Order: sequence, then structure tokens, then C-alpha cells
Amino acid sequence: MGKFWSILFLMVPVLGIALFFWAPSAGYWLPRDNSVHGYQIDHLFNFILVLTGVVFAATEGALFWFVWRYDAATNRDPIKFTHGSHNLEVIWTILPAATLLFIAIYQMNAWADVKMRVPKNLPPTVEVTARQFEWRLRYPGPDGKLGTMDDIHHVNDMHLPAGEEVLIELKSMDVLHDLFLPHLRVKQDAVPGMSIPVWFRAKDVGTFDLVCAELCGWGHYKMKGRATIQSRAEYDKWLEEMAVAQAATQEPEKEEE
Amino acid sequence: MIKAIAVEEGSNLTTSQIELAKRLMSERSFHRPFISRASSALVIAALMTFVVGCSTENSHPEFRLNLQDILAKMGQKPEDFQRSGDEDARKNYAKLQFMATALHAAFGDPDDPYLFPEVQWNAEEKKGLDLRKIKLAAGPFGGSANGEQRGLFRQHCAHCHGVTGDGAGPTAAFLDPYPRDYRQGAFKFKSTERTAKPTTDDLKRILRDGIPGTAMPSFLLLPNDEIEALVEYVKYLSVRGQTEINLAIDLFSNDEEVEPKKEAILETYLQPVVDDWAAAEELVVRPPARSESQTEQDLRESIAKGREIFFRKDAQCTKCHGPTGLGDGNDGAPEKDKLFDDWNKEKTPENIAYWLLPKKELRPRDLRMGIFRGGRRPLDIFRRIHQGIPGTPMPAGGRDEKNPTGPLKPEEIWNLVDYVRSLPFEDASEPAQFESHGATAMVEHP
Repeated sequence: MGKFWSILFLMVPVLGIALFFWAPSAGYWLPRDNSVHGYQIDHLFNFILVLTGVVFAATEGALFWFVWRYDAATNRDPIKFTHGSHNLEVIWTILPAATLLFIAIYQMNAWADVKMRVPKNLPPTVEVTARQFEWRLRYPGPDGKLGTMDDIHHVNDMHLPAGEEVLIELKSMDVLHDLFLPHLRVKQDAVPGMSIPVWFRAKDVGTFDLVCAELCGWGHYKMKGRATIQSRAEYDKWLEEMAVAQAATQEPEKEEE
Repeated sequence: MIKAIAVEEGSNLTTSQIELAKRLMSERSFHRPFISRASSALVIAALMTFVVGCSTENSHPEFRLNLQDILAKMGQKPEDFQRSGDEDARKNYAKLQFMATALHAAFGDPDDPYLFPEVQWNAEEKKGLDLRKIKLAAGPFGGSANGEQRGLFRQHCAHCHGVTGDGAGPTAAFLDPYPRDYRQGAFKFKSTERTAKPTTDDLKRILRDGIPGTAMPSFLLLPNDEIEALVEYVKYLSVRGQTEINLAIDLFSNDEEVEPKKEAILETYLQPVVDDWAAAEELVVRPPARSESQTEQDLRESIAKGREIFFRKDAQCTKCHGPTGLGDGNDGAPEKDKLFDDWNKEKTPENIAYWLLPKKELRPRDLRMGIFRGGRRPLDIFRRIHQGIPGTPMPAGGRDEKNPTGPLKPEEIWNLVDYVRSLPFEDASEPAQFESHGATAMVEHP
């Protein structure tokens, strides 16, 4: 029976690692990175994945070898007792500790870039207020300032300019939410009572997912929005149209449907 | 569970203690097979759930009868409906059965909605309800095999608004304000005259923008055909609910005989409601145009005028919204003067048991929040002031041929609109004055 179990356990790393090699070609991998900073995050992800992958393969390989070699049915070697190895324990304590310390230092720059080095003198592009269960958006109006009478209000349908630094002021009206833009490698909790800056630079135009990544209540699954990355010209045009629609004093011409 | 007692050689245990210990240990061993049987049963049950799935295919939700209106508003008592009661009670019970049968014949059920051909959409007369759209929104979530039904209403709306559209779904009780009860046919935020139904575009707008400040979220990203299907289904539920109420009034309040014939139901109870919905499209309030170019100076003057009107006695704004617009004008009012939506006002200590949700007070809007439930366009706010908000104490303030006693002329409403829109940015306590009177000086020169 020992042979059967050792083969079975060997299947775990073999199939597991095979899955990782197969997944990207089948489209089950990280979404396309459309941000300038995203490569740092993807690099860290891949680096840690390879590191843990090697350790995983080695551990599973050792497990297989022990179960195979010392199968009670075939093993004729006499039993040996050991009270442990001091050297071995020192090694397997120091090695992971050093690795963790290395990762902690290695990732600091990426963390600072996405969470700490807030761009200076950059006015917010949009204020996003999360609430159960939608994203309320507020853009500065023609005067370029937030919090004035001509602000442009919208919901769920976020438009942003491509190729330039974008600053989002993230707020929450009720509970914890999480602004998740997977294609822009942005994920930030929205905390009631706080205004949290989120910044990034999108590369290409396109339409991307905007979802809530923090279980925020029974309607969490409904909190799905859309991020449309546009060229500056199109973005300005959209803002202008929104401003006109919002200042309406007469019913607009009926939309063609 | 008592732990096994160790019986060691040479311990000072008495014979009875040893007996007890042995019995306990043997009981434990008796328990083992039972536990393993129970756990294997659990595993099998879990596996079966996995294979079969938590199927809800056997549950057929039904429209529930509007007993609250009958009990609370038409003076009936629950004992009047006992099947085994006296002759009157049996008669009442028969009336309920008649209502249920008539409604089912006219509207079908939530899985399979139906409409008489006479009230189905007629493109020439621009009247009626589109049964094809209604069917898209009806049924269980996921829809039927032929792709006809998609269950949109149950996917997006039913948990708050209820399968029947009674505004009493499972999550309704947690919400303030309560979700709309479509059966009453009253809708707050619309472009039409106060007593008219909303237009299709009004409902589409509400679905797309949501109602900020309430639990109604935005469904902006749903495709247009789904939005239209949902709007049509809301109309269908509303028409059904109002037909039911009209029928109940005749049966229970007026104690009339209703002929069990399609024509009787259709012409007297159903058709008028459908006509009301069709008429709404012609009853949209179109405010007089404003001059296109409003300079900053114009705006400041308009805001100042609006502020004066806001405090005017006949405009009645401060009565509820308060002199600062914080919505605190009616705070501390005695019980009899508290504010309620119409559908909460009807709830009295005597009939409260018949309602689906507890009574809830209405808070006048805090105008300084910058949250406008019915839309933030000047046009929306104009209509809120002009038509008021039906179902609430917010009165129709606009003066026109239909409301000649209205206190506000259109131009005055526009001034008020500007003032209301500027309120979130106006200092409530004018701290600037306070500072200039020496507060900052004190900080600088202690």
C-alpha cells in the first residue's frame, strides 16, 4: 500500500505544477496589466510564486521519497532513533527567516510606489464614494475644483484619461468597501471617515472591470462598476457632456433607442 | 462528554469508582460507532447536495393577496374571514377567493404572467403593457430553457420590493425609507403632475441613477432591454396591485356584487389603471425655459432671491426643512404633528398588526447634504418644488392653471432651485463672522 500512497502524494506536486504551466495558456491567469506601475506588482507575485513553488516541489518530493523508501511492506532496514539535529534546526530556522527578511526589504520600493509616494500637487481626478451597493463618483466641474456647485456626479460608470497620472480620492459612506481595478493593479480599502488617495497611470484605452473586493453586505455581488479609460480628448468631451446634462433645465431630446 | 478516567494500578479508587469508570469508558466505545454512522450520514447528505444541488425548482412563488389594505383600511377584522365562521365570515372568505381567482385570471402568476389582450401594448394607441418585456423580467432567476424568461425582477429587485411588489421583501424591514410598494400606484420621483403616474422614462431614470440617500442602487450598467423589461414589470405589478385594491374596495367597503366575468373586471377595475399609465406620458411638467446664459452675477442674485423665498411664510419651506435647511424644522413636534409618508400615516396602534412593516417616521430632507433623491439636475429640483412629492407632506408649490393657489411662480421656483443647489456650499453658522470678531486674534496673541 505504501507505494500507492507515495504515488498518490507525488501527484499533488506534479498536477499542481502542471496546472500552473497550463493555466496562462488557457486564459486563467492575471488579467492584462494596463498600468504603468503594475509590472512591479506582477514581478513580486511571480517572484514569490517561483520561490514558494520551488520549496513546494522540494518538500513534496522529499515526502514522496520518504514514503516510497521507508514503506513498511518492503523496508528491511532496522529502525534508527534520533534526538534531532541541532545544525539542521538552525538551518531551517535561519533560512526561511532570511528569505522572509529579504522579501520584506525587496518589496519596499513597490509598496512605497503604490501606497506611500502620493503624487504632489496633483488635483484629484475623481472622488469615489463607495456605499451599499454602488460607486458614487464626483468629478470636478469646469472650475477644476471638487466640492463646488458645478461638480459632476455619476454612478458606477467611471471614466478616466489614459496615459496620465490619475488621483482618486476614495471614501466610504457606510461600511468597509474595496476599490478593485484588476487590470490597473489597484486594490484599496475604502474606510468610512477617511479619504484615501489612490493613484496610477493607465496605459491603453479600453473598458475594464471595477469591483468591490471587500465583503460589504448582502448586496456585495451587486457592487460592480465599469472603468472606461479614454484618450484625453474623449475624456474631456465626456466630462463636458455630463456637465451639460447635469445642468439641464429642460427635458433633453429623447434618446434614440 | 466526560473524559475517560484512568484506572491505574495501585490508585486509591474504590470499587464503585472503578465500576463507574469502566461503564463510562464502555459508553464511550458505544458512542463511537454512532458518531461514525452520523458523520457518514452527513457526508452522504453533503455529497447528495453537491450532486443534486440546492434546487429551488419546486418552489413556485405566488402573488400574495393585499390583506393589509382590506384589514387596515376597509374596516375588516381577521375573524371576519374565518372559513368556519358565521354566514358573513363565509361570505367574506368567498370574496377573498373570488379576488384571488379574478386576479389570477387577469394577471397570471409570478412565473407565468398574463394580460388580457385588451390591455396589452397597442402601438397605435400607445397604450397598454408589453407582455413580452414582462415575461423577460418574470420567472425564476436564470430563466427557462428557451431563453424567454430571465427572472430579472427576482434577481435584482424582489429581495426588497417583494415578489408581489408590495415593498416588503426579506431585506425591506432594514431599510429607511422602506422600498416602494408598487401596489399603491404612488411614485415619488417623476416628471409628471402630482396625481399622475410616472412616465416610462421616469422609471428608467430611477433604475439607472438609483435613488441616492436611499437603499435603491443604480442599475446603470444593465443593458437597455433589461432596464425596459424591469420597468414594464414594475408597471405590471403596480397595475395588478391597484386593480386588486379597486376590486377590494368595491367588494369589502362598498359591499357590491362583482360579476365573475372578464368584461366586468377588465372595464371597471383594470382598464382605468392602464389608461392612467398611458395618460402619464402626456402629463409631463415642462418648466418655462430659463435664459441660456446665466452669469455668475445672475446666479448670485438668483440665490439671494431664492433665499428670501425660502423664508417666505407661504412657501412653507422652513416649516419642515428648517431655517438652516438641515431638515430639522419639524423636530420635537408633538406626536400628532409628526411627518409620515401616506403609507406610514395609515398605520395606527389599532391596525398596526395587519401591516407587513412597522410604522416609520419621515424625516424632511437635509438640504445641506447635497444628496438629491429625485435627481440633481435643476430640472429635477424644479419639479420637486413645483409638483411636490406625492405620497409625502411635501406640497405642490408651483402655481399654474391646475393649481391656481400654488404660492410660487415659475421664476420664483427657479430662484429657489438655485438657492437649494447652493445650500450645501453655504456656511450654516457663518463662522467667518465669528472669526472676524476676535477669535483668530485671540489665538495669535494669547
